[in-house]
Amino acid sequence: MTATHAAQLVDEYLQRLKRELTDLSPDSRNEIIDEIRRHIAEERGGLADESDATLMNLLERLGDPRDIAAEALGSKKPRTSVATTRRFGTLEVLALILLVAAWPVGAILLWVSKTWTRREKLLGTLIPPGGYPAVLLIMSTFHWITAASEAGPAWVDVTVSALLFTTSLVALIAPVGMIVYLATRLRAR
Amino acid sequence: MPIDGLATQLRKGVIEYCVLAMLKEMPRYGGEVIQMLRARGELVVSEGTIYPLLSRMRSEGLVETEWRDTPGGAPRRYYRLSRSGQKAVAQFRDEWFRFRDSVDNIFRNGARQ
Repeated sequence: MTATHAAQLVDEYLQRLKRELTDLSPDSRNEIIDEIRRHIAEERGGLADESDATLMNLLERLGDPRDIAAEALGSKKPRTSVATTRRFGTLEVLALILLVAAWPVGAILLWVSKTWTRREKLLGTLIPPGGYPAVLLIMSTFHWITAASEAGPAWVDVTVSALLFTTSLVALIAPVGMIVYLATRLRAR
Repeated sequence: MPIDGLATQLRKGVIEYCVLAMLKEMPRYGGEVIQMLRARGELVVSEGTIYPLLSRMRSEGLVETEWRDTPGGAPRRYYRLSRSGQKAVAQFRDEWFRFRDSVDNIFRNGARQ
């Protein structure tokens, strides 16, 4: 038996592979096609009895050109995404500092940065709302409330004081906690 | 997940390291790697995918290549493990044995407390 369509079968296969690899860089594409062409030639040399059937079997073992292209292109994708994942820089550090000191500017930088996820940005913006300037504002309001409650019965005074103390503590710790959280998220990148 | 897809996923994660491991003793050409894989079971379905894999490993610096003449045939591109390729193989080896032991442990003893 002879492979009457040998040249045609191999040619078609390589043409299909070439089409599937269009998105690849010319260097990689040529390298892969060249290697597969050599592979086919070598395997054909080893066939004791070359027929259309054995040749088709050979090409089938090599696999669908689409699978080969998927391996070639698929491996490209993660690499480009790794390349675009930015590690933290000045912008991120500045964002963290200003988030506490000058909240609106810090919050804007937080959203400008591509390093944090949307969820982390939302958390960073809402806790604390306004950073320490806002915390100080809230605490001065508390002071006024405390002064007012002193006029009432003793239990009201105690309850209000305890409540305000806890809230103040949380308001003071929350921003620091959030900065630490956002910073650890940066390190996890 | 269909079991077919599962096998593909499992293969995907390890095939790169299996190919690297095969280059550990000596440089080999693509067809040789494919023959070895074929002889060692069902690790590759589409054998042609080994070539883009080798090409990528070369651009990542895990392997280096050189052309060698073959008596009475066309020259072949031989792939040799680079230093970072050797490191990758060693790392995978340790990781793999730990991983395999954990999975084995669950499947052997998981039903018992």
